[in-house]
Amino acid sequence: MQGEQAADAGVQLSGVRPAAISLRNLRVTYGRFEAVKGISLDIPEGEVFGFIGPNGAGKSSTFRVLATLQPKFQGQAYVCGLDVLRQPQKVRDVMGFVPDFFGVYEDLTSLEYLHFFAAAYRIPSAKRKGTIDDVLTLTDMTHKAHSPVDGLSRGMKQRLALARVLLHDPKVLLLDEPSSGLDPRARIEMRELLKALREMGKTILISSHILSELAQLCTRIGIIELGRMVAEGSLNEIYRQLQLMRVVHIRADNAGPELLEKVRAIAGVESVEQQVDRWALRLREEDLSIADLHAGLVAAGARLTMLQPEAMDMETAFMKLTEGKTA
Amino acid sequence: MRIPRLVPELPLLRRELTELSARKRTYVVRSLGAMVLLAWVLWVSQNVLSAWQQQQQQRGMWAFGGALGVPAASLMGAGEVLFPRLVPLLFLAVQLLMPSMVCGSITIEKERNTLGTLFVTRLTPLTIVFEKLLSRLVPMLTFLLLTFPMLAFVYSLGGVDQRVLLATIWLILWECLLYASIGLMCSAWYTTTVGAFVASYVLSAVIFTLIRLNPVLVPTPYVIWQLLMGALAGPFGWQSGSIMAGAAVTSFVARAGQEPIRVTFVLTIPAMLTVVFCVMTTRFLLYRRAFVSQSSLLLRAFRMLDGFFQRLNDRAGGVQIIADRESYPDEDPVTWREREKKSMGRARYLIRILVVLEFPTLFVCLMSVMYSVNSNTSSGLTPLWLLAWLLALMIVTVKGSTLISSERTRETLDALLSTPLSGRDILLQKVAGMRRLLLVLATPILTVNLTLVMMTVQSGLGVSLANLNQLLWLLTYAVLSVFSTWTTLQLLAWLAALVGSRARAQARSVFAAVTVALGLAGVSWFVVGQERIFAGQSELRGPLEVTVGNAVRQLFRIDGSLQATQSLLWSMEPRPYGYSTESLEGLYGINFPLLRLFLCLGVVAWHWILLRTLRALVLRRSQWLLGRVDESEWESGAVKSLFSGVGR
Ligand SMILES: Nc1ncnc2c1ncn2[C@@H]1O[C@H](COP(=O)(O)OP(=O)(O)O)[C@@H](O)[C@H]1O
Ligand SMILES: [Mg+2]
Repeated sequence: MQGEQAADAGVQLSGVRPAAISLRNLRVTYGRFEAVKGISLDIPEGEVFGFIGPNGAGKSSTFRVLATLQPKFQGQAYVCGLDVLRQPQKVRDVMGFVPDFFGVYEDLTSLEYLHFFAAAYRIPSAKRKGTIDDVLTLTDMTHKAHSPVDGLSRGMKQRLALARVLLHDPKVLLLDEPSSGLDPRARIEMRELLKALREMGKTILISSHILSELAQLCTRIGIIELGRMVAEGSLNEIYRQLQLMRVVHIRADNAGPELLEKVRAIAGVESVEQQVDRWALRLREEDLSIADLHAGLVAAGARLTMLQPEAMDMETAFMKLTEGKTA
Repeated sequence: MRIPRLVPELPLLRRELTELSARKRTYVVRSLGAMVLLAWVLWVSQNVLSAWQQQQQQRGMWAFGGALGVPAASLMGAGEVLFPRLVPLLFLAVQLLMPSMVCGSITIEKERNTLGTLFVTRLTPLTIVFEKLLSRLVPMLTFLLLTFPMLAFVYSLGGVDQRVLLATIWLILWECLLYASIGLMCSAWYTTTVGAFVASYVLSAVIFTLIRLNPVLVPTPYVIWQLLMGALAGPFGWQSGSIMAGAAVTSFVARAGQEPIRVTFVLTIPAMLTVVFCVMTTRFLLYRRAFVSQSSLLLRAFRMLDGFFQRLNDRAGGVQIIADRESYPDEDPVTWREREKKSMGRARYLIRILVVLEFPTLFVCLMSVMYSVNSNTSSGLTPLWLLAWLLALMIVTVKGSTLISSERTRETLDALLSTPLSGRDILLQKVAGMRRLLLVLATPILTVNLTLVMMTVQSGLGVSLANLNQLLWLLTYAVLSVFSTWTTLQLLAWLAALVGSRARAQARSVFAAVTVALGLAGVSWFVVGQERIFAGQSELRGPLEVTVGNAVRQLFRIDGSLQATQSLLWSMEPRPYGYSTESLEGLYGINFPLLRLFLCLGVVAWHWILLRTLRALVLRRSQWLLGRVDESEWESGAVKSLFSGVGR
């Protein structure tokens, strides 16, 4: 498959590779209320793009446009180069959509459910059994094949829904909050499953309102709020965009006012805050890497007993971006 | 609506009324309903009064009023005539509206998952039931109050006993309570508003049928009122009924003239007990059926039956004919699911429904055939035909309107819509899934139709089986009857799909579709009802005018093609409208039965065209109905944007 493409998916290659998903100034209005206010986006093939935003930000509305379920919108939307409005039928062939809220037919078993959609995706009947076995194995649902779907747990239903959209081997997966409402175990299993799909080279657009979830999975992230994309890029780029300072905690056994002055003088150090047993240094990472800081500190004569960069704090980023504006 | 603090605390009632008044729909429905009712009242009174005046004039009473130059004076005493004609409208309004107003009161809370929060408050179950009941009674009574000026006017015309007026108001109140408590009971039992809606109307229909059969057995307030007015009539009549009821009752009822209030009160006791029973049942069911799973009740009932048969089989060592196993779709998945997985679709369940419907129908038909040899009226079967047709209308409409909206409420629609199935395919497959159900529902209607043929043959209306021509005639009738029944039911299914598919909630789509279907049926009935106004003059018109007029009216009826085949049957009568066929041919120079055949064919063809047009319309509007992008629609969108571009 396209496994090797996925390896370097983190690199920006939209010029080289055709965009799997492309939005041009997308606007979605419900009556007089504008839910999406001009989003433009290019997602190259093989990328996993995380769509993050609080509830009501307009994530699902964007998904529905791409899934051909929203007849009225302004702007352009393309999936694999196909216009969503002009070639919806072809778009449905290359795309699999898992909505944020969905039900499964209560009157069917998992196997019947998958057969139903296999027929709906027009998979030739000779191939159906093999395909269904494959997706059941991939999603680890084989042992539940004959259980009625209304008895499945929420995590199981999510996996069944994923199995459903994998039936026709789509290039693009649109997953709207796939792990909301799952318990931690199911959440981790879901993440592993998504990683496997990433390895298979699928282009995935995935949304969540929980940041840490996507941080491990996505090659790129877009933060959407009140219908606008407020930040977009790889994790590091987003930090830079937000001008978030990196915080480094140090401890030195010769700490004193003299050393404090010298540390403050290091270029790139924004401020030093004295705490009970340590100093918290805030630095501009683009001017001063952690290694340079270490060298600078040693040069300043600090006898370091501890140097601890604080973990990247996505929640802070999120709070900063969406300050008091959640819908 | 502000509710004055008459009673210290009725929090639930308060909330319900506020909620109702906050909805725009409430006002629209209420003012529309009031307008319709008032218009109807005016129309009826206009007719009654003009007939009354004519009568008075003939009796020479007019001269007295006319001499005084006060036309109004001529209406003195008209209340006596008007009152018995107007009050039934109020009863009818209650019977029609009350169930639909009440049936959602508890189920909506179940659907919204708010019933639990109500239980944890300090309201006792009985309080909840009473406040729910009151909350729906209040709007109904305010609605009825709108017509009270009319009643007052009628009363002021004189001729109405004050005690009778009081008894009438009392009876209307209990009619409201009766139907409200029945609806409430259904609401407590069912998990969905749709279920409660259907059930409460089915119960109302049962009551209605029982009244038709023998009113004495079901002394609803309306029956009592008719009794009071001495206007009770039915197939079996009051006389035979009162014989069953015993001499004591008969003599008691006979006192109604002298002591209307006392008699009314005593006779209302069964209705009161029924209301109490319903309220207590509702209270009993409220907790027990609060959190029952949403899966189809019918399906579960069938499964239970299946289990029973299974055990029976196991014990008797019998063979199971159709095993319950997994099956997979081949080509049309949507049709497959409707057919194999729905209670109203699976062959084995449909066969049972068929048996349940067909058995009583056949029984009544056979009885009619056996007992009506000498009477030339085939109209004895008309109530049955009407019932079969109304039942089919209700079921097809409910099913058709929920084809899409049930998937929408269960949130399974999006998954279906993101598959490459075209909107046209989805709708076609959905309706195709209903085909077996339509067959089942068509069977009782056809049974009645064919019984009519048998009776025509049997009662010797000049039709003998030896006559080949007549046999051909009967065959034509049978074929046309099958075709028209099929057309009509399909028409209803597509109509319901068109009306119901857009709605977000299942209950709303059912309300909308049933309202439209019944509304159309009602309007068409009204159109035909116009015939009655001219009934006096119809003697002036020849059979040709009447026949053509009938055909034209049938064009506008939703069951028109069904009606047309019925009138084809009449053309077998040797003496249509009392004219002999020969004289008719002499009169018009045409073959009269043949003319009728052509007119009937015309009506059936017209309904077939209507069906195809409606179907095409629904399929064309699939994007709009389903709410997604469809290729077929994009073209017209492109054309539109082309023109809007020119406009700018
Ligand atoms: N069908 C609709 N009609 C009206 N408003 C809607 C509809 N769907 C969504 N909205 C509104 O649009 C906004 C964005 O919704 P949505 O795209 O579902 O956000 P998210 O998925 O990010 O939580 C919300 O404020 C929501 O209330
Ligand atoms: Mg959402």
